[in-house]
Order: sequence, then C-alpha cells, then structure tokens
Amino acid sequence: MRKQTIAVLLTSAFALPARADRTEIGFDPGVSLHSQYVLRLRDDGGETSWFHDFELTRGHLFLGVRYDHAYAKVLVEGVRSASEGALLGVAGDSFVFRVREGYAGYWLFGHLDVRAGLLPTLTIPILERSWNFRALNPTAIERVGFASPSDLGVTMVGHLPKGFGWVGVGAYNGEGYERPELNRGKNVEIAAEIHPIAVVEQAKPLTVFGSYQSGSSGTGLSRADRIHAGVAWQGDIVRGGAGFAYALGTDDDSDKDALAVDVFAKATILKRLLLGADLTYWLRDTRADGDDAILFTGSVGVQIAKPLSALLAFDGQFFGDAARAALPDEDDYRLRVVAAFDFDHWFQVSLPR
Amino acid sequence: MIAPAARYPARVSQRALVPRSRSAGTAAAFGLAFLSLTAGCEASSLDPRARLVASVTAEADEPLIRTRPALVASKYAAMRASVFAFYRGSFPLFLHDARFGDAGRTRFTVEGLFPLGVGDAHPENFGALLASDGTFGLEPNDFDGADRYPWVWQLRRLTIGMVLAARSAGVGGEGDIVRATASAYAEGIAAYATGAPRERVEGAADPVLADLFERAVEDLEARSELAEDTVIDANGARRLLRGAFDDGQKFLEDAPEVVQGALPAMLSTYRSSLLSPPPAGELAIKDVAREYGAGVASLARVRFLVLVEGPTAGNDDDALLEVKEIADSGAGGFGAPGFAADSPGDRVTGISRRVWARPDASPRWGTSELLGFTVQIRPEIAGEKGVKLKRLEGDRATPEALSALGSTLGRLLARLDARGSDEATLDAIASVIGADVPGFVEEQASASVAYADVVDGDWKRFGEALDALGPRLGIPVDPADAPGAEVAAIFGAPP
Repeated sequence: MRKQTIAVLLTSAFALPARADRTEIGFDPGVSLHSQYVLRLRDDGGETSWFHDFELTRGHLFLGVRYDHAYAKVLVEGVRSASEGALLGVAGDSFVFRVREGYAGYWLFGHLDVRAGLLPTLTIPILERSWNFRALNPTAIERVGFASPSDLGVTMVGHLPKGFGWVGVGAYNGEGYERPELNRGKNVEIAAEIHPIAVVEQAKPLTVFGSYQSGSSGTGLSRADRIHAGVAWQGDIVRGGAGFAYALGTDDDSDKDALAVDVFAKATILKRLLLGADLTYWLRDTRADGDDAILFTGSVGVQIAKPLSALLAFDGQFFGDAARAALPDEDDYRLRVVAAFDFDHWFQVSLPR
Repeated sequence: MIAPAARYPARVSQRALVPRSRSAGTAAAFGLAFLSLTAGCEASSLDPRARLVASVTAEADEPLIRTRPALVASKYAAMRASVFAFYRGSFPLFLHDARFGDAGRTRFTVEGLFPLGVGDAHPENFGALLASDGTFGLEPNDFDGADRYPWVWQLRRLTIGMVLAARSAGVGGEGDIVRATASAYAEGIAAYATGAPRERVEGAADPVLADLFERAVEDLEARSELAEDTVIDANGARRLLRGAFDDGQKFLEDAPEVVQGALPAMLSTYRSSLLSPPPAGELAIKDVAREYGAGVASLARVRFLVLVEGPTAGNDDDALLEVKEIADSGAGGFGAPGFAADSPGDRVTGISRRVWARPDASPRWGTSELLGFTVQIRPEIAGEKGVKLKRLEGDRATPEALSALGSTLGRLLARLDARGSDEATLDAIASVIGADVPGFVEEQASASVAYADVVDGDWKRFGEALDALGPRLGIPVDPADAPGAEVAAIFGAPP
C-alpha cells in the first residue's frame, strides 16, 4: 500500500501539466492468464478413476483507451474451438481468440456512465469484485449457467455520491457473447451495488447488492428471468460474502426454476499468503427431488510478485441422485495447482492538439 | 510523449472521469429501464414446452438453418409427417431431455460409465449389412450420433422407439414390448459380462426380421438398386436416373461441376479408409447425382450417389456409393477428458468397426473429404434392408411380433454396449442391472411409455412452433450467413 501511494505521488509530481494546447489520451493495456494443472478423481462404478491435464482456464488480452470523457475497450479471450458454427471454420480443438468485450462509453453529467457494444453485464462483475479471486473459480452464477459475463447491448450506470455505490440498468440481446441473437426478446437487467455505511471510512467495504434480469432464451422465447441478492465485505485483507440467485426458467424450459446459494471468502495474510474458499449449493430444478449439488472449493496460495500468484486448490462436488444421473460426467474431486498472472498498466500520452 | 498517469486516476472501466455535475443520472437510467422493459420480452402463443421444443431444435440446427434453410425446411416437413419421423429427427431434443429432464433418468445409475455406441438407437437405425463373406448380419446402420453416452440413454432411445413403432402400427401392449426389449438387454449384458460370445445376428424367426432377411437376400441377388436408380442409355452405358422417384421423397439431379471435379480425390481418400481397399479401377466414376429426400435427421445434409465401375468393365457389376456429409455427434462430450476422435470420419469408422460383430460387417463403409466436408461413403445395396415401420403390417403388426423384434434388438444393443465398453464398465452395468432385473425392466417400461407420450405431444407442438415461427424456427435471417456461390452449389436447392 505504501509503495502504491509513493508511486502515485511521484507520478503526479512528474506528470505533464494539463495544457490547453495538448491532448491527453489514456491507455490501459493488460493481460490475464490463468492456467492450471488438474488431477480429477471420479467414482466409476465403485472404483476411483483419475485423469490429469493442464488447462488454460483464462487467457485475456485487453486494451482500454480514453480520450476526454469518452473511452473504449477491447478484450479478447483464448478459448477452445470449435463446432460447426465456429468462426473461420476451425475444426478440432485448437485454441482460438474471440472477442469477449468491445465497447465504447461516455461519462455524462459526471455520474452517469453509458456504454454500448459487447460489454460486461452488471451482476457478475459485482461478485467478481467482491471476491476478487477469479483465478480460483468463476462466480457461482456463471458456473451454474445462470448468467453470462458479457453480452451485446447497452448499459447505463448512475454512480451515487460519496461512494455509496451505483445503480445501473442494461439491455442486451440475451444470448451472451458466445452466440448470435436468436429472438426478438431483449434481456433487461437492473442492478445496484450499495455501500450503505460509506460515510464511515472503516465501513466502506460493506456492500449489499441485488439485481433483477428479465430475459428470454432461444427462438421459442422461453422465460429466463434471474434474481440475485447478496451481501459482501470488500476489504483489502479480508473479502467475502454470500449471494443468492434464483432463476425463473432454465435450460430453455420456462417452467423449470433453479436456485444457487453461494458463500465465498478470501483472506490475504502477511501480504502474500492467499486463503480462499467457496461453497455453493445449487438446486438445478426446484420441482425435482435430489436434483441438487454442493460444490466446495478451498485453496491456499502465495502472491509471488504483484501480478503473479500461485494457488493449490481442492474441489469437492457432491451431487444428489437426480443431479448425478443428469451430470454423470462431472468429477467428484479435483486437486488443482493454479498459476495466475493478472497485469494491467494505465498510462497517458500527451499529444499536441 | 508518454507521460505517467496523473489527471485520471484509474483504469478505463472504473469511474474515473468526473466532470462536475451531480444531477440527472438517475432519471435517465430509470427512463432507459422503462423503455427497455417495454421493448423487451415478446409474448408468444406457444406453451412453455413448445417453446423448448422450438429452441432446442433450432439451436441444434442453427448452422444448417443459417446456411441451407431450404434443406432444413425439407427436413422439418419430413419430421412433421409422423410422430416417428419426428422422433427420428429430434435426437437433440431427446439429449436435452435426458440431460435436463426425465428422459434419461434412472435409478440404475452408475457414475462415469460411457460406452461407445450409436447413440440414436431407434429401431429404424438397424438393418441387414452385407459382410465381406457375402453373408448378412443385423447391425446398426446409422452412426451420425455415434459417440460416448451415459449407458442407459441408448437403451431408452430404443425402447421409446419401440413404443412409438407399436403405436404407429396400431399395435397394443406397448409396455410388454418394452419389457421384452429391456429383458433381452439385461440378459445380454449379464451373459456378455460373464464371457458369452458376442454373437452376430444372421437370421431371425420373428416375422419382422425374417421378412427383412428374406428381402435382403432377394434384392441382393436381383441387384435391385441398379434397376431402381439407374438406366442403360442409348450408348449402352449405365447412368443414374434423374428426377423424382415413386416414393415421392427421393429426387436425383445433376451434381454440380465443382463436386464432379472433387470426386477422384474423395474416392482416393475413401479407399484408404477401408479395411480391404478394392482396386482403384473398381471405383472408376461412371456417373454422379445429387440426392434429396433421404433420411430424416440427416435430410439437410449434403448427399450424392456415385455410380462406379465395379470389378469389370461391364454394366452388370456396376456399384452405387452413397456419399453423405457427416458432422459432430451432438453428444456434447461425455467421458474422461482426453477422449476424442480426431474427426467426424474417425468417429464413424472407429465406433462402427468396434461395435459391429465383425469389423468387416460392411467392408466398403468408409469416410472421406469432399471439398472440405467430411463425408461417409457406404455402398448403396438394395439388399441392405433396414427395419422399416412401413413394413409393420399383417402378421408383422402384432404384439408378439414387435416383442420378438424388441427382444432381438435389445440383445443386439447389449452386444453393442459390451463391445463399446471396457471390462470394468461392462461389469458395472451388469452389476447394477443384476441387482434388480425386474425393477430395471419395469423402470424401462414406465419411463419409455411416459416419454413416448411426451414425444406424441412434442410432435404436435413442433407443428405449432413451425406455424408460429416459420421453417427457420425463429432463427433470424442474416445476409452474412449466405454461403458463397460454390458452397451454395454444393448444398443445392431441393425441389
């Protein structure tokens, strides 16, 4: 923390003064790479089978550019491809890059952030920011398929004064960023992240959040509404919280509701030691008995250098009878060694007008 | 020129720019919210299940709908013609219901068991295949969906199909027909797990299969395929017919030049995919035609008939090859990470030769590439009769006849699972069934009859969805999807 403060002071002191005859353009390039070695264990008919492999779970490259009140960002991710509908006709299991975010934005009236394009949806970033441990797991609602982290559309976020948080609304195609629009219905998301005691410096990390998404899926316009609510502590040393998600309509079935309850925590001890845990209860179908699962992850890790950390993680997945019948290929236990490199650097170029 | 950050404190995506006005944000945000909500979710006349049927079908066929909508429209018209045709064409819907609903639910679950199999094991996907020694055997004859699946799904696909076959033929006792099928499967699994020979079905006493084998021998001797599909022209050369056929479905037309030019390379690769390649001269091309109207699930796939020379230069031993585009199975990837066929062609040849009673059950069944499309090439032999519902009449349309058919197919499916499994998997399946065979049989009967009712209803809903959403099932038109001229020529335009 002290190093950061000094850095800011130094950069401020030596920064070029804003001049009327010059234009400042800000750049924010970055990279996020998460790779892991996974040992998978599964009960195969009373015998334990295992498999192990190396994975690239996240490969992001991004660049943000800002000019005056306008800004834009492009983020590409490496994914395995492909199916018949793949870009460029890639067949086999090659890694390919695809665009995950590509949007432009503008700050209106000082408090209203308007974006359009292929942009982050509103709910998942709240959870990711609250936990700040993406290297360990995606958010629960992303893992169980309730929400997509990115979609084509527009968002407007109004920031509340004095750091109380924000209220936002978004309208999207609703098919996520992995497929084209399939229907005339558009998803609408209303979300808020509130720091209710922001006037007290020590209580600023306390966060309550909630969102509602009215949506549809598929060409048949099946209902796909989502309700999220939760509470979190976004501290520097300890972060954690609990979230509740209810899905009205899943898997293209308007009548099939599901829910997920997630508890997550992260602690940074002695500046470099990282402890994390995540416990999710997932009810896949509220109408069925035993169609549920408990997903647990615990980890210990170390921040080797500022952008680089390494984690040892253990996952346990426990399925009800119906869920196991429907998900027979899921692992029971996994042991993972994760390497995460998350880096971005903001800088500014000053050009003559 | 590059200066460190000073004026703007944080990254682009954060709230960094702070021009100095405090008002207006909230009202504008809620204004957009109202507009978005009112512009958002469109009501539909379809019930929730019909929406699901439409969405799942459209998503499975999306690449085809976007690039060759006319062919998909033909497929959907065929699916609409009967419940069983709908069942044949709706394998993705079954997979969805197995994964997310009740279609694949069983209390005889054993985790992680994924035998290699044909997947879509409905009764019409079995038939007589002519082996290299000239004998016929009853085998699966469609590997479009072949892959690894949870073991009970393939059996369900068969038993539900038996219920629908019985209903199609107006035969009662569908529960008993399933019981016969499931019992035979259970007995077969138990036998194969203890080392019983994995026998080939070379004949059958039941009316349906007896009829099938009888017609197979007759049509093989008569070379009926040449009589039906070809003609000797004025120059004394054999040519494929063109135009509509008597069944009202099959239609042959000239193949585009680009395809004709690619055939030699395709056949060369095909030869190399065979266990015992014939002399290259046997595959000398005499004629080629595009075929429309064959199959149901694969009706939108590119298909050609190729007339080749055969062993001698005469017309009498000419041979026909069916060239059919194949793609991914749609299974979605079951099994331990790491298992995969390198291509759809490897998937088809690898699984077929493994689950057949003998690898040369159909020795000229191979794969190749045609202008970038993976294709399956198999001999078009009239003698290779498939089980057909339209033949279920007279003494072949009785509960006893269908029970006997189900029994044979159930035992055959057990053999497929035995051949498609490793020893531990087969033992585990045998063990879980063996713990309660009557319960297993009853579960298949009740689950299959129940899901057949769902299929009945879905067939009607599918029609409603087509009426409401059109032949693209709601997939929007995008001019960017249109194929180029050459690819469009390969797809063709159905009559």
